[in-house]
Amino acid sequence: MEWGIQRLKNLAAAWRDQLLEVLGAMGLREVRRLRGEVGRCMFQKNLEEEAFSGIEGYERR
Amino acid sequence: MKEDKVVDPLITAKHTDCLREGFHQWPTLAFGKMPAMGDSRWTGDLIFSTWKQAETGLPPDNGLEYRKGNSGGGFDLFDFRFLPKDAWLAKEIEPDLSLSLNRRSFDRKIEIPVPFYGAGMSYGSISEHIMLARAKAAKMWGTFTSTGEGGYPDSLEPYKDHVITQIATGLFGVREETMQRAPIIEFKYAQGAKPGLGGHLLGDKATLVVARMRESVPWVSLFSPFPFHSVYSVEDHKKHIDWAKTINPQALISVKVSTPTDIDMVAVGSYYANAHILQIDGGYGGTGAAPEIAKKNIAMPIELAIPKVHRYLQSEGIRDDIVIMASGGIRTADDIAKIIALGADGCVLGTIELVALGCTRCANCERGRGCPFGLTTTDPELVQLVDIDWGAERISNLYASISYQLRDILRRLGLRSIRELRGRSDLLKYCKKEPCQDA
Repeated sequence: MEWGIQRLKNLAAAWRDQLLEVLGAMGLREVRRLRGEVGRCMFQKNLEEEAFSGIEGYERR
Repeated sequence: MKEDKVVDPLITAKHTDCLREGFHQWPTLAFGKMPAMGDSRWTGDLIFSTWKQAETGLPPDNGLEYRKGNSGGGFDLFDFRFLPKDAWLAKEIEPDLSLSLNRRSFDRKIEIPVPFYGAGMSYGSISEHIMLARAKAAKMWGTFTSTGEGGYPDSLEPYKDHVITQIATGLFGVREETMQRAPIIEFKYAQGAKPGLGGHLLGDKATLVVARMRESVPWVSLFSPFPFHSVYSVEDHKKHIDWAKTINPQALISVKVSTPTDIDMVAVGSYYANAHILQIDGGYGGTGAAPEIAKKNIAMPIELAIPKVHRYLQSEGIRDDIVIMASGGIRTADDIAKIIALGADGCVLGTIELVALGCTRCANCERGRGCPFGLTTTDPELVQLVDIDWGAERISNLYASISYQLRDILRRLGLRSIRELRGRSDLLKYCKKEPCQDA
């Protein structure tokens, strides 16, 4: 059980670190500010369409 | 700037010989391929083929894949639409690879004979030997390398006509006398590998000499903040450039930014602030010191950002007045040609130079004493593993191989100059579903 607890704690700590990195990059001081901020997402499909449309072999999907 | 620590030369020589033997032997495939070498972007084949190019000055001919990685996206899905063989340029025609770094009507003209130069890697993140090897190679090729943000060691002065100095948010090691040496001054607003996060040099690498250069405290981690807190508008940015131009009126100004969604607006802002070069740094660059989540999840890959900027500047009628340099994830000569076809003028190379010097992409750049191959380290023992002349020759050979391949690509496309390739995305084909034929 100790082993399992430690694994879960490690996972949570790793997620915490990563969340802090991305929140810092967005200039947010608390995760609550991120709620509903869809505008911060970039969608690969849209970006690819914008960049690659017109190139032979690239199809809009 | 050496630290006083005695390193047994025999031990260094033995270790160095072993490493160099490995860099020579593995690309011959005499022992097969290492199953754990590389990742999907920098595959084992790409690492070995870069070592081979650094040794011979030519691409490998033993079946190593030296043109593409295995990422399943971006550059790896593109190929060129080469002309039929009878329409290729004749062998005796040598396509021109030169690139002008100032397209403005004012300030000095600087032209480099190859469409790439070395990226900013700071003193502290890499060793002084690596900086000197890069500078020496840049001088041999008439191109540039960049100091990065950690200061400008005096040992680089003999190469000063080929060294860009960087001013970044931490202002570490920025001095007026070093700004006056540089033909190009680079403002780093952000890095593609860690946009919005700034830089971070862990305490273990902030040795006495590094701390002295950065005017900080030894063995204490150094944070280079994000953003420049004096720059929140194009006008502020212009004031920054004016400050640098006041100190060195001869210098060209380069602006290094990452790839946010509004990168096109950033590009226009840089143009109106009188920058000569805009370096757009995509998300796949950076050493192991950059957090994985930042490299993979923040900002755009370079191949998505460059077409956006190119088209927008064209629509604004200012594309021919500013030089766009692409960086962050450029691994091969093919990548260089592809990103130029997507709209860049040239490329800035960082990781590929480290791979040429023996980097295996093990991603231990920031930890403890640093790189076990003596690249991204400040440890006085590990630094000895890379000899400056050996390093310069390896980078120079890599440049020779890249130039050879770029000329070959241009010949097959029927183009006489790399400048003719810019923005010619019609010469590319996208191969999502099945491998491209006759590539």
